[in-house]
Amino acid sequence: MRAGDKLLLVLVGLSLVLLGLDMATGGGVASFAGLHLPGFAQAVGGWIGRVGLWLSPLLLLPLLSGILGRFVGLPAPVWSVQRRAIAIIDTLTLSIGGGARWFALGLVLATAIIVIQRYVFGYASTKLAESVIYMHAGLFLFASASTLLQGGHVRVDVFFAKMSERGRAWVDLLGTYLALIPMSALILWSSTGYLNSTWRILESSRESDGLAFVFVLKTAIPVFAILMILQGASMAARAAMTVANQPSPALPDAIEGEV
Amino acid sequence: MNLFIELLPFLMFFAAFAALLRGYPVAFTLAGVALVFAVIGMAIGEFDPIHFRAFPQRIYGNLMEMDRSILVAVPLFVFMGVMLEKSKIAEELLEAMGALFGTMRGGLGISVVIVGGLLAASTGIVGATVVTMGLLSLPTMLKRGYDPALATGTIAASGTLGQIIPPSIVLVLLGDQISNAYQEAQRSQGVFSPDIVSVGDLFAGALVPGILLVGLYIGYQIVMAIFKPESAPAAPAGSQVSIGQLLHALVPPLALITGVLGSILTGLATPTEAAGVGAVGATFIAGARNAGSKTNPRLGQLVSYLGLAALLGLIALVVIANIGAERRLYVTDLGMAVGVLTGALVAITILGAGWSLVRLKRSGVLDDVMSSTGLISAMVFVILIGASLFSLIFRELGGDDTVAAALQAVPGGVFGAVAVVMLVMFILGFFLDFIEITFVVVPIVAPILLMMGVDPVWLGVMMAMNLQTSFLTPPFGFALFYLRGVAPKTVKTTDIYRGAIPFVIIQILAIIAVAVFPWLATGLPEWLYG
Repeated sequence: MRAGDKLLLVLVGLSLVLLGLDMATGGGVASFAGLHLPGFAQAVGGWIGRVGLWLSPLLLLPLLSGILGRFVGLPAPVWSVQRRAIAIIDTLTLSIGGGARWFALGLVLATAIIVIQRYVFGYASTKLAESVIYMHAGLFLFASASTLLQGGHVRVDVFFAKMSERGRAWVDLLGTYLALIPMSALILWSSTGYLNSTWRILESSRESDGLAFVFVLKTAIPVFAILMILQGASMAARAAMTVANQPSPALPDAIEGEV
Repeated sequence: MNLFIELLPFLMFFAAFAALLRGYPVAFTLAGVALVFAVIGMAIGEFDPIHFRAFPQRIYGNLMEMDRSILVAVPLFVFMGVMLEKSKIAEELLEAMGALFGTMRGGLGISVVIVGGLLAASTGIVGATVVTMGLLSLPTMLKRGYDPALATGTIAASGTLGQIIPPSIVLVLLGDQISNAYQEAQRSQGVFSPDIVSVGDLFAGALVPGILLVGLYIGYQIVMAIFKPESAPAAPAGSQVSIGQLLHALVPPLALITGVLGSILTGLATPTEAAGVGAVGATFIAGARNAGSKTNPRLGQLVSYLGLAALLGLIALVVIANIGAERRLYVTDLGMAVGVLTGALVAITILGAGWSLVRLKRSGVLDDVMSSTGLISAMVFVILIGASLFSLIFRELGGDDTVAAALQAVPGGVFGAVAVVMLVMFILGFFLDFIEITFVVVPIVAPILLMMGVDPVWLGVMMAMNLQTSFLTPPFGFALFYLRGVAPKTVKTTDIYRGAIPFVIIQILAIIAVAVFPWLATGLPEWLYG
């Protein structure tokens, strides 16, 4: 089992249990969710937002320690805290990315089933067709942070390849604060209104026989932003250590892949 | 101040270019530059932050809505390509072809071109093709006494065929952008029932130019073999290959590619559907071919191949039943016997797929394929997210009008405008990957060119060929970098550059041919779809 398989199994198991309960109670779970979920989600979302706001100044730690550490020696705890944070974030990212990779197989199988259903038996299921889009979105949104960790997001390396290790670390450190975190923060900030409206009505597919989870699909976008901010912080902390001449934790093996 | 506002979009473009050269991942750099210019725009009152509110909706609408299912073809084709790569198709093909043609002068070069074209059609992944063929055939070619320049040029050029020969990922993404641009162009001209150009149209359009390129490459090999025989010597006879080995190497991938491409071109299936079936087919091939493990029981091999045969049988059944039919026919319309046959075929397909997947999971190949698919998918679509923020702000700052005015001011009318766009894309191709160019440049320039009356399929094919040439042009071409990475030290970089130049000339001739005779690109889609 690779990282993420357990996570996925737990999620699948949980969904099956809910589905079973729903069937056993004749739609009881669905109606309960319809009644209580919007309010519950609002409260949870509010709390997550508050916690995030309180924690956000911590994001500046790699930037400050990198720049300061370049010139003066910093106390050891500054680095050990960041090392701990890198380890936690990387494990989280790799688990989520590892779970998301199964969407790739799911996509292939679902598409093949759709084709056989449609062309051989002349039957089409809207739910299955929509599940393909869900898996497609899940694949790239949740694999994105682990892709960043594995160095899979393309860079223009005409000059980057020739830079010194410290030069590259500066690019990573500043780029994270000038580009990655602002972009993700923008996604988070601008999502609030539309998240509110989609959860209030527990938005469902436009087709009457489609999947009822459009609100979950839409929530994946801000979740993607949060994951990118976290992984960005881990990347920045690594870069800060290189800039300040500290040993940085090793990167996981990159996966080959080239377009 | 007014001049500053006028020039702001240009500044934004150059700032993005300069920032990208720093080397931070492209997706986020584009978004970061866009945000800086949004702040500048807000400061001078040219940009209203209310437009930021549209950003998550744009991500959702551009990438995740039902009518965007064409984009799903990208991960599916990647899955198929990586799976074929893991099943060592390229190795076997090169070996078989080399043994078949190698005893002729120039034969090895010809087999590299053919394998490049075939592989290209199956993967569309440029770097992978160049690296694979560089590792496999370059040492053999050098050992046999090929001129290093000719050998490296042939490999690099054949590797780039993956962009132009369908089904390639480049064409899926480019076709999608052109299709959006075409609708936009017609809407702004007040056409209420717009024509639609699809990814399938672009596939059909690119097929003839792609085959033309393969032909020209082979022609060049023959010319070299005749006029400079010492540059392309024949291999000593000896390493004979049996017909069986050749068929085993050639038939499964060829059947797969024909099935996938054929069902798209005949309009039977959408590119996404065909890609899904292709991915399952590739899984069968990989399952049958020992991918990742040393032993393979005969029975298991048989089950996997039977699965592939059953899948192809199902496709054949659907195709044959519907030839000349007035309306779509399904199994339920064809009676009992066919129903039983279909049921059996479906059962065998499922059995074969299940067995292949279990084997591939055990050998770890499936994990690699899934992870690579996730990685490449994230890379492509997160760039699309960054680029959509970039173009959102570029538009709000008046970039569209600026570019339109600039293109209309180019002397020579439509021809001049197309030529300028092609030149800019060619130069950008030295520094940027096709994905960035497709997502950033095409949405800005394509609607303007299409409004000037340019044919969308022709424009797409020209852009694809242009970028392909750019990736091959010394000293910056990407294909040359990839090849340099795997070529032995004895091959000088200047050899690689020298070898690429004839192929660049061939490319330019082909582009001129398509420019002068647009029917090379537009003929097949018109004939197929009317």
